[in-house]
Amino acid sequence: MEYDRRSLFARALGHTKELRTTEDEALALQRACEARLREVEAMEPLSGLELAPLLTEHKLSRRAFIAWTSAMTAALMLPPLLRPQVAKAATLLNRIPVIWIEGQDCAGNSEAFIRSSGPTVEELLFQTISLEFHETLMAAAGIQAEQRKQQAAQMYKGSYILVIEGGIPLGENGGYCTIGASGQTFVDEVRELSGGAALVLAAGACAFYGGIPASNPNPTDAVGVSSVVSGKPLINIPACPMNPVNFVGTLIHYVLTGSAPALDSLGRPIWAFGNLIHNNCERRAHFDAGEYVQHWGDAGAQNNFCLYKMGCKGPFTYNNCSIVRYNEGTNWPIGVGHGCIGCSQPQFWDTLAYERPMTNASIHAPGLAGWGVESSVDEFGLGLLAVVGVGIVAHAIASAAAGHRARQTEPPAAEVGAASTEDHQDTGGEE
Amino acid sequence: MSKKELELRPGTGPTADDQPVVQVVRVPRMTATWRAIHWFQALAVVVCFITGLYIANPYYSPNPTRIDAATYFMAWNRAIHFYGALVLDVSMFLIAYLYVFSTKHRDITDLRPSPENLTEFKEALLNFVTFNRRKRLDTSKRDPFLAVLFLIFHLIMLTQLLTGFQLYVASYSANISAVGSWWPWLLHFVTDWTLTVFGGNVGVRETHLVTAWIIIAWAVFHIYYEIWRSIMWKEGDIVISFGGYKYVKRSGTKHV
Ligand code: HEM
Ligand code: SF4
Ligand code: SF4
Repeated sequence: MEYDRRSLFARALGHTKELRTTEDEALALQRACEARLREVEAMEPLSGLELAPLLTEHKLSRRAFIAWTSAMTAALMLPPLLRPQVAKAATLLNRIPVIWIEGQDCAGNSEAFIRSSGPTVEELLFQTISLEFHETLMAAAGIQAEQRKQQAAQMYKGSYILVIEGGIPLGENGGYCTIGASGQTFVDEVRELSGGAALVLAAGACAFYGGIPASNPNPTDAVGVSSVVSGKPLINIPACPMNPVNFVGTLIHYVLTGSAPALDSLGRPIWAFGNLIHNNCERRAHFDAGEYVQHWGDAGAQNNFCLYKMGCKGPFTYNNCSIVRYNEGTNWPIGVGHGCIGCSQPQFWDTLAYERPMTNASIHAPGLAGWGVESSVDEFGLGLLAVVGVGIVAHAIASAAAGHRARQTEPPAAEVGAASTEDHQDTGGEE
Repeated sequence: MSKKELELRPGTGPTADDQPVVQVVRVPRMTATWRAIHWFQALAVVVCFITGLYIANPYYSPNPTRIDAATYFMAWNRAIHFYGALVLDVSMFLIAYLYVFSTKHRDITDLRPSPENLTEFKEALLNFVTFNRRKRLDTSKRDPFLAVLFLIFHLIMLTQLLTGFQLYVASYSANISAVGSWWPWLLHFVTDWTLTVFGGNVGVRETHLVTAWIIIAWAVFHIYYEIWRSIMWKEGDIVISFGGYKYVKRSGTKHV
């Protein structure tokens, strides 16, 4: 596993222990990225859409675009020197064929791109991407749509990026979710299309670990992409919804380097998921000060105190929404006064999404999950202490009674002293 | 303590003048090192438990209408918890060393499943469950039953230590630490398996919490058992942890 924060460097230059990039390293990286960009530029633009005219058309100034590229460069944890390369990569996204399929989902990850107040740079980029297939967005339907998918998969075999949105039900042989006119099961579609993909992206919480459909009791036996796809580079971009910045950033990283970014043990890009929400939260000072919202709307809430006691799971959750926020950096859940529900963590709905601290949650005691022992940890603990206490009292009473009886019947200590004094000599002395 | 102290009758062989007597002898049971470990651990466990419960669910807060971060309750609780944990970590290393390399008393000797140890274990257990009615063991010695009780404790502590370190390394931003990247790397290397075993960082946290209660439950039992032994055996077991000795009655003979 790779723990270097500068994911890109770890790949391009090998693992370095120094946390600060030297100028030489940055320059070497820049040269490597430029070479890769020249390769991509030589490729055919597929979507027929270029970013520059789109930006002008939607009155997004050059300044706004530069601001965006700077933010993206920083988000990707690249040295500022590489900003022009990031800008270039953004304009080259139209060279990459993308097939986007949906299973058990709410299309929320697609919506996250297209439902902003004004077109954002991310949204325009989403337009320039050569989206060969996307059920929700394309005009074609039924058999036509399916043919389009087959064509795209044939034409770009081995080079397309497969984006999977939604959980994959395995129950009833995958029959809980069938796609299109032919009624192919989603799990088959995932297997088939991932076979020809260069890279698989699991978009959102449901594609990550099954998400909401997989929450207890998981009636359709839903799983995430990693349980179905193997032998392909897979990048998980969880959250509910996935942040468009993280999706576009991952694509830009791919265009820049031709490879997946460094991933954490759950397959998430470290540049986006390397930090706890809690560590970059604007309310963190209140956490350390012991200043908590105790009830919705109380004096603490009015003063933006920490939401830990209202069940904030920022201390468990790896994501960058505390930094990049949502909707063009407008705000994010904790910013508007609700705790994090851990949407970028596995099984978040069952294990993190409740409005009280974990110790007060009715959760399964570890290892007993299947047995239905359900109690909060403190109840469990107090129960355990009570059991020990009752046992002790019972034992003490019985001992007292036994001693009493012994005194009445036989002379005490009849069996004591069986051992010889020599035995004791191996037990003592200083170290 | 010298061997002589154990000897009831420093004379030569028994003679006609010998008289049966009952004498109290001091039996060394805990070295100064073990006693120090014992009390450091007891203190650290209590400190960790109290501060840990605060971390889990902060049960006091400054007045919310007065904005003033001077108190830093959570920061202090976390810091003190970590200092307590540090004491426990170091003492666990020491214990691990003494288990195997102590020159005087090695726990692994008591834990060897030899026939004598098994019998003694059984007898100590029977002694406890028959409320001291059956007593066929040499109570002056450190018996295998006690050794097993402590082994259980040390394994519970190890779980707490490893899950605690996993929680600790999780709080590093992008694995940057003040002492260098080797430290988070080492913690990941040693404790990442707990994520798999206990079910992700949520499971690790739950395990840490549940184990905290198990440690306290064990401690309650431990205190009871020591008091019980002291009362039932009348050999001052409870003072072992203070003075290092227990006081055993020996019947022998005395040369007059
Ligand atoms: C052995 C070394 C130990 C280490 C390294 C350790 C470390 C930690 C860490 C890192 C946390 C999380 C704090 C945070 O997220 O801010 C924590 C929480 C906690 N610890 Fe420990 N700890 C240790 C021992 C103990 C002991 C001995 C007890 C009690 C007997 C204990 C009880 C708790 C409790 C109750 C919590 C709160 C759990 C929660 O997050 O809800 N810990 N500990
Ligand atoms: S609001 Fe949540 S993430 Fe922010 S400091 Fe409090 S507990 Fe941490
Ligand atoms: S704050 Fe937490 S729950 Fe909300 S979007 Fe971010 S990771 Fe998801």
